[in-house]
Amino acid sequence: MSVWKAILTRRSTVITILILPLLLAIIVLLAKQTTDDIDVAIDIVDPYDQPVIADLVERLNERAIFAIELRDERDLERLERGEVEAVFVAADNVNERIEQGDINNIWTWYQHDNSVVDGLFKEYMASDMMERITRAEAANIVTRDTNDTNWDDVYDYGEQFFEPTPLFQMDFAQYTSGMMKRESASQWPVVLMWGYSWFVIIFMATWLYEWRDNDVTKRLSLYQFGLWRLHSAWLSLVVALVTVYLMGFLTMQIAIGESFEWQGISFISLVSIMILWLLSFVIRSRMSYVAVTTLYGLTAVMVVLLVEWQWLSDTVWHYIWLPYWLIN
Amino acid sequence: MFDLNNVHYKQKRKVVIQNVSAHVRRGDSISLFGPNGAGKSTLMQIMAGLKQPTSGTCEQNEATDRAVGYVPQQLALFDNMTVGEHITFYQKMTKQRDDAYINEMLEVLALSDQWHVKSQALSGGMARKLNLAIGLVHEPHVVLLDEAFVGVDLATKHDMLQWLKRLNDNGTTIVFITHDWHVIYHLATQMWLLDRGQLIDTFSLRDLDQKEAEWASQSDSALTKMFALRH
Repeated sequence: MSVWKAILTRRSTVITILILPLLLAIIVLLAKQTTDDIDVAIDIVDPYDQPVIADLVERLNERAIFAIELRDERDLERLERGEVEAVFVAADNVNERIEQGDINNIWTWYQHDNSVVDGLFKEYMASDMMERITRAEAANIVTRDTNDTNWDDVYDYGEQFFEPTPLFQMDFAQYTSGMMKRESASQWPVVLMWGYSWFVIIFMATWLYEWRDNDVTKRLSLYQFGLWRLHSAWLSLVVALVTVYLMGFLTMQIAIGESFEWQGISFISLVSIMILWLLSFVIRSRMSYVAVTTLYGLTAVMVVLLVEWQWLSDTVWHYIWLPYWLIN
Repeated sequence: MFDLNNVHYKQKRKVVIQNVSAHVRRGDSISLFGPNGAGKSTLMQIMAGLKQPTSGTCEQNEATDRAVGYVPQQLALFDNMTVGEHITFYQKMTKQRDDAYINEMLEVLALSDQWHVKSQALSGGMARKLNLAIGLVHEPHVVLLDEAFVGVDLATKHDMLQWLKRLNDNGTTIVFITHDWHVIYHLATQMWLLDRGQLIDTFSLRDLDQKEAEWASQSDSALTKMFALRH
């Protein structure tokens, strides 16, 4: 425990193993929260107070990225001041026009030169309008051809064909080098997690060099199991640290509603610890050790991220990079 | 205690020690003396078992369950560990349970008051004393000191010599490297002269005047200059 205390109470250690990951975690969570909070402000103006427009606004508000305000009067000053991204003004008799399949000029769309993402909202609104019109047209056809059906029943019945998810939200897949890869299962946070652990292990390994340089290891090697006890204290501390990181990472992933294969990164982290520990016996110079291992870590992370983002193709040679095992 | 037979040591094709044969007996206090690069530290590390001779043997001819007490030239201390934590750590490491011995050593070396002080906060002299104390925690039968007195003031030197002298008087064998005549006078009973990896002379401290005269008549070697600084 004395060795643990000696390592953990040094300022540089505290900054490296405690403050940096805490800062990173806070930044990631804040960034996540901020992106959640950034909603696109849209004004929908309905001078005629129509229930169908209120229903439309309610449905579109369920999309997390929009903040829609339903107003009675058009206020283009808000658009000028940049308070809203766009203003959509509804025509009169929207419900009747939908029922008749008349989709022309239902909306008047006002935008500013600085408006950027209002097109996205327009797509969402068009999607909703198309759904309503399709169901209305289907109800029109069915009630015209049959006598014992009610228009509203057929209209409601048509909704099930648009649930639970629209067609365009399917999972995309790409066929590359004989291997099916899912884009939706992104592993880049795990790769970055490995990268950080790798650099922490390198930092911790500098203690091994310090003890060697100031002859602590020479002195301890005279005692039975003396050197082994020192190394086992170092190894157990590093394993404990990496375990804490992994648990923190797992907690963060659960908090933001994502999951990852903890067994894989646990195993690769253990292998990383053993490799870096053994390398410290092979490379005698501290500077060479830090240079070689840091270069490997940076290259590994970059190559694997490029492969993950499909800027580099898969080859068997990539297995020399430890994090590559995590994405395959 | 030690039998050195034709000890030869090479490092990266360079001969560091060549054909050293000598004996260390129980209770000896030997000063390894010679210029820088003479091979003193290497010879000491061979005696400690930290290095294996390229040829020849270095045998400990008396069985002992205690490790050699080795005090390296560098301050082999853990940063951020207090004096007390150092002593306790090495006590556990060496299974030393004789607290009376430890307390006495700390008293003589004036380290008791520094028990809670971290090693990096110690003065140079105190750090040297701690470096020495750690090597002596387990009451070794043989103590090897590699320039353990470098950079210490006279008071610190006094405390260290006092404790080492007491150990030597009680039968502990001491082999030490120093360039400090003051330390040699107070601690050594024998001197081994080394130059360019060779053991060129061994003699009792009683013969020091005679040896000085012999070296004064030699050519202008490093050893001649070192003897010239004796007074």
